[in-house]
Amino acid sequence: MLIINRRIFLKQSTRLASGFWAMNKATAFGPVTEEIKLTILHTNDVHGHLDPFPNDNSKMAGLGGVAARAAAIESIRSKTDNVLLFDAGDIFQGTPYFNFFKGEPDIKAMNAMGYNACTLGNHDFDAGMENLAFQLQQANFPAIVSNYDFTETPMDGKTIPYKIFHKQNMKIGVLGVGIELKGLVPKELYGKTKYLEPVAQANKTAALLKQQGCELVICLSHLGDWYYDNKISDAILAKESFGIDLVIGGHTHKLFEEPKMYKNKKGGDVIVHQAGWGGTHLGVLDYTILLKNKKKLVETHTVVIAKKTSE
Amino acid sequence: MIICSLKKTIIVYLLCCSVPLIAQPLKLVYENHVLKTTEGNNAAMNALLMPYRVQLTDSMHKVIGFALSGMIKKQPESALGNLVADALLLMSQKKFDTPVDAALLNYGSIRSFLPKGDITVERIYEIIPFDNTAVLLPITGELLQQILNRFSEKGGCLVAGIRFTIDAEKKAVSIVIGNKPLQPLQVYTIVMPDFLANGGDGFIELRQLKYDSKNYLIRDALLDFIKLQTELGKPIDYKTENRIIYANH
Repeated sequence: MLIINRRIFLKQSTRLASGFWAMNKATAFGPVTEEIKLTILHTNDVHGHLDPFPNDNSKMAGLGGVAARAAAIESIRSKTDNVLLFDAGDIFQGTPYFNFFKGEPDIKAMNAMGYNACTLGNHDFDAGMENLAFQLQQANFPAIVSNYDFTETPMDGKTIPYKIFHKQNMKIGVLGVGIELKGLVPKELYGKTKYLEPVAQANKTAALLKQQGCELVICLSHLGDWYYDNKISDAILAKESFGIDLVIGGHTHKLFEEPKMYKNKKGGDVIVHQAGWGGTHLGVLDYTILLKNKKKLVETHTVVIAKKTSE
Repeated sequence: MIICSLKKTIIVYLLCCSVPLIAQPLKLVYENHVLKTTEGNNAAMNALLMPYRVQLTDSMHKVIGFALSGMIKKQPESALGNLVADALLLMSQKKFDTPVDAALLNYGSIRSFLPKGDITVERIYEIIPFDNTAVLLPITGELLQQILNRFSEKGGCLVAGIRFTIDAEKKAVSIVIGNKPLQPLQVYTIVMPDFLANGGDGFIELRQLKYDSKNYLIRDALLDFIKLQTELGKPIDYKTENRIIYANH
């Protein structure tokens, strides 16, 4: 009855999804104890594009630049409380800014924009590990990588395997996975860095984060979204994972029209999203999370996705 | 239709919820926010960037040499291509501190032209916008023949230390390297962009080979070469000289 009445009002699929949600709250799940809104903002593969792309009639002309990005982030933060801002790697390399300043203005700009964390991309090694270590020391945010072992390298102790962020009454666990550097980065640039198999590391870290009571686990990934062969990718990671809810991807420079959804090993939904490259777009993921039974540990989630409609 | 699937989803949902500890739903609304300066331009960020922009502009406008004539890119061979290949060959010998037999670059390595007159750093960035690095590979004469055949199919490439003819079948013939005819069994040391060595432009067979890298950008090789010529009091003076020719047919 309720469904049939609603039919009249639900014309667009996006509205359908939100209607579905409203109904779930009232019927399927009983009274809601707490509803938390969390906004995840993300970039990837910015590649030194601190300025907008030049006006040369190309598809990206006039887009991007940290001034526009900072303005958009500021505007979003002014409207909502719980915002987390991440980058999925390859911050460095791609414009003369990097050739001359080795990432210094990039990190300063990210500090000013209030980034909460990043992971490392292969190109972040391009000016060497000493440089990467030095630039990260200037950062107000951590580089999170769970599958590189930097023992006996200048990067030792310069990254962390995970971090827990507290927003309202919620814990959000963040881990990170980097791509295999061998064959992609000249050997002398990554030296003794050990690449650990990302799925095992991600699952291990996610399990740890769930154990510590994280309601949402996010993986910052520079693996790439998908490959023709069986090379490890976000798609494979998502399907092989246990406790990851969201993969913020990079490396393959894809602008996903909509987030992709996979089923993990436990049948829960894993979302993968990627926001192009060059800083032309900011990925905006607005989560609404119902904290229903806080004593019980939530292992997996089901997700209802909808596109943001213009306000 | 929609209602049917909705009902089905709800049933699945309810089933899930009857099992403890399984699912807690998330609602996700997404947007790819397009970043346009016209829709927001943060003043503090512009202020932060300003000193870097000023320094960058100064560095890019710096004059590092002088070109006696204008040079363009062209196939099978061009003055600009010869300049870039020679720069890569000479500078990589210095950088790697080892003799190198030849330099090979794909035609797409260079993207612009060099006008007559003062050469600025910015102009070199326009000619080589990519951050490819110089890598050294040991390559047999046999494999080199295959590589040059492939380049011949594409109409030519950039070479230094090698001369060859592209015949009517678009194969590389009369290949001369180090002033001697190519020997199939000899191993040559070749410098090329990592892009090619990593299998770019369809050179999959090169991916199998181990290469040596000093993380030296091809663009830096060209910048260093021009600066070196200027220090020696020489202007940049390049012409085509039949490094690659099309066979008369």
